[in-house]
Amino acid sequence: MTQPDTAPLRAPVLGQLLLMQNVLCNLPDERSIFSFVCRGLADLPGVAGASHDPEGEEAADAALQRFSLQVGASHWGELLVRVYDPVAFDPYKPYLNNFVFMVAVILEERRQRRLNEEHQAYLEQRVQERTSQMLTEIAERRMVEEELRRSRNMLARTLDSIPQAVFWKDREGVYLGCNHVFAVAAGLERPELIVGKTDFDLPWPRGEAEGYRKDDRAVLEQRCPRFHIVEQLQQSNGARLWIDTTKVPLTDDTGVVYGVLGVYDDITERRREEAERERLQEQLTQAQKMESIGRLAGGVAHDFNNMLQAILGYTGLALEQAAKSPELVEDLHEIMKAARRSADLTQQLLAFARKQTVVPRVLDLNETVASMLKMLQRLIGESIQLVWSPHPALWPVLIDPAQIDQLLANLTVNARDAVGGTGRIVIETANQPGVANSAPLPLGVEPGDYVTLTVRDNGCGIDENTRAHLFEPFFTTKALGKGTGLGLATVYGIVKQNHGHIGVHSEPGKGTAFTIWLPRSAADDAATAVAAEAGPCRGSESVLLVEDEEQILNLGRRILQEHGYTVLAARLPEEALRTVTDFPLPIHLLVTDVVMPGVNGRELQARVAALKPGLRCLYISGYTADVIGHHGLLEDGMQFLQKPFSVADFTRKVRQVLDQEVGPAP
Amino acid sequence: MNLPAPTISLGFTAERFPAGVHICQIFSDDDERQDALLAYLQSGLEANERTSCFSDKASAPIVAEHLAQHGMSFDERCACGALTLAPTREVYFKNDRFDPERMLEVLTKYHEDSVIQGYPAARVIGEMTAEVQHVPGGSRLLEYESKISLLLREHPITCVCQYDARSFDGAMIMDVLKVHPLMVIRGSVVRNPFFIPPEEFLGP
Repeated sequence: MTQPDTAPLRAPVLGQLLLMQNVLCNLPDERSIFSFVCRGLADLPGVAGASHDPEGEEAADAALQRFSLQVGASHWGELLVRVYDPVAFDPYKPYLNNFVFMVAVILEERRQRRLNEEHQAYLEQRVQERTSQMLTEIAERRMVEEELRRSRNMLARTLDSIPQAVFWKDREGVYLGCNHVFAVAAGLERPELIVGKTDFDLPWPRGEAEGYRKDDRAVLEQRCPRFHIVEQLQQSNGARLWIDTTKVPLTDDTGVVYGVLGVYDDITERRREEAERERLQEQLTQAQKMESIGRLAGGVAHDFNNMLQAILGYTGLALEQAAKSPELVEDLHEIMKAARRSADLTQQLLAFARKQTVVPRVLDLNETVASMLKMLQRLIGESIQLVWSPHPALWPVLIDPAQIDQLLANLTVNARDAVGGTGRIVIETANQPGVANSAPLPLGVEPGDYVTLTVRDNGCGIDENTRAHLFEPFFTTKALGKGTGLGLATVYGIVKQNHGHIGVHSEPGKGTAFTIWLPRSAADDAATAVAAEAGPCRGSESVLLVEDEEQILNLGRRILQEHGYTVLAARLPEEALRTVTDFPLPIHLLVTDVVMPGVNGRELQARVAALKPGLRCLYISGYTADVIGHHGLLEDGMQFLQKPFSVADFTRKVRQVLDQEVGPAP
Repeated sequence: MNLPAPTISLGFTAERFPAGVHICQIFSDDDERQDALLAYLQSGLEANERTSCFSDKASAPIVAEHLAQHGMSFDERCACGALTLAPTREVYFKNDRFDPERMLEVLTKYHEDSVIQGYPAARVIGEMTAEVQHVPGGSRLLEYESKISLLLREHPITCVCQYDARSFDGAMIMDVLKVHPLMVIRGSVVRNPFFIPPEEFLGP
């Protein structure tokens, strides 16, 4: 009987293989699986034991049967089955092959599952990390956005707090932003509405917009700031401003210029103040110059008057003695006329210097002017129409009417000369209420109500350079010998003496208008002109004559003695006082110069009056600065005779003073 | 003619078995373990069997909740002795050692008391932990399991032995299979082809 080649299959063995296949699914890892499988395979028929050779390193052995654990490219080594009875084992070999393959499949599935799980875990971890990262990024972005928002708000608030207008544009002149001040100027409700607009979309005129664009291009091309571009800007409300603009190029991180940043300051008010300051400075300078000239003129007039006094006086005395020689009388009259014209000149100088003696009174300017119209018409001739335009309810002014005569005569003659042949001169008066709140006041003019007297002509006009020197004495545009250059200087002095102002408006070819501003008078007629009364010019009283100019002293003594008076003459006040002390008889009149060495005329009068009660006094002077008050007014009761005077003037004045009732001591 | 022996329900499978079967459950999933455990306890109590559980994983609240969901009071069943819960260590490793003889006596007495108390049957489910490999007497685990198969012939307590495949080596799991005649595979109870009868396993 032969040994069968193979043993019959036993179902439980196959069941073991199936059971192992099921159970090993519960085992956690490969080590445990191979441990389980090898222990189970050892129970197979004909098998002495089984092991796992992960690397295929086990040496070849006839009893060892190898079962590869492989699925596709995945390999887990080999299961080594030590077979001691191949006959018993061989029937199960195909099943064992299947089993080992299934083990490999399970391992591969596990590997795949593990890879999937790892991948899934990796993905989940990545998702978690990315989610965390994104949350962090979102949080950071929100923080950045919040910081950016706060920063933008702060920048906007800062820009809006700047009193200057701020704006910025790109290279094409398109606005990128601006602050509140600029938005208001541009007529926009909010600064952000500026974005996308150009200067040609904004309310300023096209010419100005083109100018701004030109400035922008210059900054962009030169890559340099431009400072203090002074230009005009028309706001949305129509107001035109003077602005001082600074523009700088805007650069990005790489230094590329991408636009222009501009800041401008509204300098309209500053310019107005500067212009006003310049105007006032000019007025001050002019006033100072006029004052200096006035002082000079006054000083010259004083000395000149003394000399003229001698000429006039001695000529008068000579005339009284030369009646028998007609030729001599005629010559002396010529000397007298020349001396009087010279005296008129010095009088004008004194008027300009505001040193002439005046007796102001409250008067209706309309009446005063009206009374002069005929005289003025004769002055200007018939070829020039004189138009009189009085204000119907003119306020009163306080002024010496003689000064009105001087003003109008000078202005009308000048107008006549400006008109030339035929033309028109208009004289008009007007009230100017509340000057303080209207236009800026000229230097030295107090706020209040004013009356204006305007002389306007349609003549040749005056250029700017001439206007600057109009009121300077001896400045004239007339031909040599045609004018003294003292006319407008006299007008100026009179106006200033009366706290007024004179303005001139003129353009070459468009005529000239001189307007005199005189303060409105609220007082009644308080001053009364002292009328010169004719009376006896001779007398027998004792007269003390004090004059430091010996020539004048001798002239006066001679005139008075020839008119019957007893004359005590002295050159100096001390000498006069000694004379008074030594003279036992009454002295009725003191005739004294005002300015003398040592004691002046007023002090001398006081000291002599103390010695000779009832003494009357007559002051004589070529320069009134010391005898008139601050405003050119004679003090009450003061008697004064302006040098140079004629013999008749002098004797009449002496007689007048001696004859008047004694008033309060001056 | 002999009448067929009365059968019992194990709870986790529709198939019915004679009382006194010895079953092994190799699991690697906690839900699988708990589902089988709760179903086994529930079916035993529903059949009025005396039921015990020796497991660290069967907490009283979980079991009570499960029983309540099926109309049974955990407290009442415990109070009358129909249900006993005890941790693995307290039962298997008393005095810090594994003593198969003591355990066999416990099971014997458990069955005898059940009969005396009139229970129609008695059942036990226990989870052996890996600690058994580290306590004195632990090396006799397979001997103990094999002897249970002998004991059940006299004292037919239905026994389910739970082993966590994640805690034992694969070779140990294979050895455990060899001393259990039945085992649970994917929710079904099957005869174990690796089973070695106790007479053969324990030897003469």
